[in-house]
Amino acid sequence: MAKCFSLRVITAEGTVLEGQAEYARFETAEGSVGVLAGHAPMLCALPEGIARFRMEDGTEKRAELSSGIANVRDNTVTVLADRATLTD
Amino acid sequence: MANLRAIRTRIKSVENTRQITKSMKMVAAAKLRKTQAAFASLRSYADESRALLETVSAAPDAGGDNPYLQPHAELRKTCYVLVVGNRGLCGTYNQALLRFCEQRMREDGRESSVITCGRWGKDMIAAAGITVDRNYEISDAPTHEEALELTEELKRRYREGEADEIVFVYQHYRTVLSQVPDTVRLLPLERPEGKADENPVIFEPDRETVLDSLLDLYIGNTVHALLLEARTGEHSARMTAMTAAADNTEELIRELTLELNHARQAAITTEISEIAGGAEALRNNTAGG
Repeated sequence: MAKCFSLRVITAEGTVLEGQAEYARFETAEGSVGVLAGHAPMLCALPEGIARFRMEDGTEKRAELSSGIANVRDNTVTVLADRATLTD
Repeated sequence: MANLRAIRTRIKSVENTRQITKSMKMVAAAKLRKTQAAFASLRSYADESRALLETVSAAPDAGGDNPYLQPHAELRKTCYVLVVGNRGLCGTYNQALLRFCEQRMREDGRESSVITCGRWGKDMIAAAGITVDRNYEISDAPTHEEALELTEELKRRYREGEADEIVFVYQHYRTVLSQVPDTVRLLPLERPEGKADENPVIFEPDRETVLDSLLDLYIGNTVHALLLEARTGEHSARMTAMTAAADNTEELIRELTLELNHARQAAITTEISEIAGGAEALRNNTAGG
């Protein structure tokens, strides 16, 4: 089983997604950024767009984000966005 | 007899008032719970973004270009954002705020523009000599969308030099029973104090862009939190006022019931003494005849 990191997607209306994930991909102004467990600390400005996650159990999740921030540190990924709509 | 009927009608009408004030209290309590819940969900978001902002802006050269961190060279025009309630019947909540705002504007004595958030007292505000150049409809439980719409306008005014500072005038929420008029300067932002990160962090695409996005989140959150705070205060004030009103009607009903009983007793006594007097007179007549 692949290594996991903990993932949280937080918006102004509350936590939209929380759990263990294997992989996350964000679209930034300069292209895609992929995150696996053990990634170096990173702060990522996210323009409006779609983020993709593969959860621990192998399910794929997509989140439509308004512009925001992804914070990667200590094997935790926190996504902050004003709005986030989750789709499978 | 007319007196009795008058008192009964009066009791009926006070009972109606009690019913109304009680339901208004209940509605205010429900809305209060709603804003408090919204506050709770905003909190983790706001805390996270504030904590991040503090670490990112700690570097001495950070934010050099961000327009919201830079005070304008000269402070000439102030834009006040007056967060009044959506309705009345909440004690002195609105009036006290309006007086406070008037006084504050007089003391500043600068050129100013006013944005209001709330439906209350358009004519009262005009009568106080305050010209409102825009009103934002902010619901009883402000959503993030509403907050962001207002935020964009405020940021634009500051950026384009229509205002040299943006000041919120609102009721600061201390407890359910106590709200105090207060001001908070939104823009230019105070540079958040924080400790720089010891570990090297990768910025994607670069530090300035990340800081700009964080500041955008932070300003939006601050506005949303202020609006929620003001509305929470409004619902609390209305709940308190309506509780007091409902209690007063109870008292009034007690007094009126007492008065009614007095009047009824008096009527009965009069009736009895009339009957007794009549009977006595009749007996005297028969005995004499």
